[in-house]
Amino acid sequence: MQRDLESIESMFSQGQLSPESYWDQVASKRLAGLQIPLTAKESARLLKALARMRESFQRAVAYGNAAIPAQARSQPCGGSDLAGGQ
Amino acid sequence: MLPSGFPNTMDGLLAMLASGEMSLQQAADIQRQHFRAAAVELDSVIRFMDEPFVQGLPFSGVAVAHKDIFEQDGYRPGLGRDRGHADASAVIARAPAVLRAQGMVQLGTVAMAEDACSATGFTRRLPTPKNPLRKDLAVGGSSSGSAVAVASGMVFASLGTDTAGSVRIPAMTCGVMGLKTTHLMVDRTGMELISPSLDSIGVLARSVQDLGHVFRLVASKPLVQSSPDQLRVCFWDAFEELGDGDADIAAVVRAFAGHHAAETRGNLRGLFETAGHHATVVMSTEVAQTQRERIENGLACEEVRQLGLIGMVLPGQFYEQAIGQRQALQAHCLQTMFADVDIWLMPLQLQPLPTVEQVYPGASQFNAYASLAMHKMCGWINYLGLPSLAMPVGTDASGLPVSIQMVAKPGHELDLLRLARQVQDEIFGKDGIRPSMPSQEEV
Repeated sequence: MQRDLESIESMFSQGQLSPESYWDQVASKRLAGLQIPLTAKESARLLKALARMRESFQRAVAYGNAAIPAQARSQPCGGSDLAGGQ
Repeated sequence: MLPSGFPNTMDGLLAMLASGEMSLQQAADIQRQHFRAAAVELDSVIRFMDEPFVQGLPFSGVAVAHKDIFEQDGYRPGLGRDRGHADASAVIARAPAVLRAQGMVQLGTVAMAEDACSATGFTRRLPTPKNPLRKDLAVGGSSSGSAVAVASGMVFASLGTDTAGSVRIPAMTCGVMGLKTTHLMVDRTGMELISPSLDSIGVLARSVQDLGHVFRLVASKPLVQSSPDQLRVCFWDAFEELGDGDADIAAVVRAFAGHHAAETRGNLRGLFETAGHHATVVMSTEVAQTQRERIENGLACEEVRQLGLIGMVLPGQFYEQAIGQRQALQAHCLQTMFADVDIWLMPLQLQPLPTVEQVYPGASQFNAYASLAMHKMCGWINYLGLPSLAMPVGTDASGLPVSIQMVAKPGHELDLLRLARQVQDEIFGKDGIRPSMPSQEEV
């Protein structure tokens, strides 16, 4: 599954997948690959939440493209605090 | 209950101690007694501590209690899961340690939502704290016990943490003040991290003076103060721009803003929604990582599980984009929102304070919108790393507090405290907000 995901990510990075298609493929792969048993209700709730996030992701991208200079957009800036923390 | 002459601020107590009007032993006895009695009534304490009150330090005699998320000497926090446990390798977290070194005595650890992951203080495995304003009202989370302890006069101030509103929401529901500090303004050593890119240590108190005392002590970066004599204050009418919120709550907030803001401006919706989206992505992805083992082993609470599952399924691009754009969006925020403004007043509370039956999981009248409204205005501020001060500024038709948030540039907490002090003196008087459990005896 990891190889599938990497392939999807790679195709998306190269512009070969639309955001919608990318999203649907990644979400379904990841959901199927979870090692955690989900009830039908939980799966439905999760898919609903993910659908909302896909919509807000598209709005966020549109806002970012308009507000942030292209140079800053193309360069990763700032890092996650996850690894280090304090 | 606190004796009627017991001061409402640290300064008031320190003055009584200095003048000999009250002895250190009397101050210690009064505070411990009230802390223990109110703890029983409000289910707000996780663990009682027996730190001694010592003479000769700047804040000797002052009692505090902190969220159960910090390591203590030889003790691991319970994080809302349980009451913690002894562990010889645990050291006292930096922020509580700094306060202790100045003479503040921690009477105990106080309740929190499990793993700091809920907008309410509801807990499944421990008693849920009760709201001192009215017991049918919900207590916000996740720093629930901190707000209850401060509002009821159990302590002068309490340290909490804020990942997506966890200091501001409980402060709002209990009618006290809560300062969410600039991201990484306060060193988090010894604090359990849930979403490291968003977690900030904050302070809850009944007076601006006490907020200021604690904040100045725990701040671990240089503080900045705007130079103009008159702070440039602007109001964002998010009720109007987002088309959300209760009309009566909006009226109270607008009336307040009309007196304290030079003008009302809009056009923040795009930044609000973008930063809010990124905050959700960051939090869910990081919760999925920090809590993965507990989720996979079925040990995580429902809120952590739901948030973490989203994080596990989200495409990696989303997190990379949210983190990658953060500095650019922060710069954009400074260039637009704060180009000629020192402080923004904006809604925090969108609805009347919710009841237990409206927002606690499994409640008979559970209202998903009321639950969402508790935290809707918070997460974007954490993503942008800004300081925000929650403060009651009026009352609704039921006489319950209505709170707003004041937001400043990173590192400008002193500006927030300056404006909040003016507001406090006008609305509550120079000693701040009175405890919700009235005094019954004389000193």
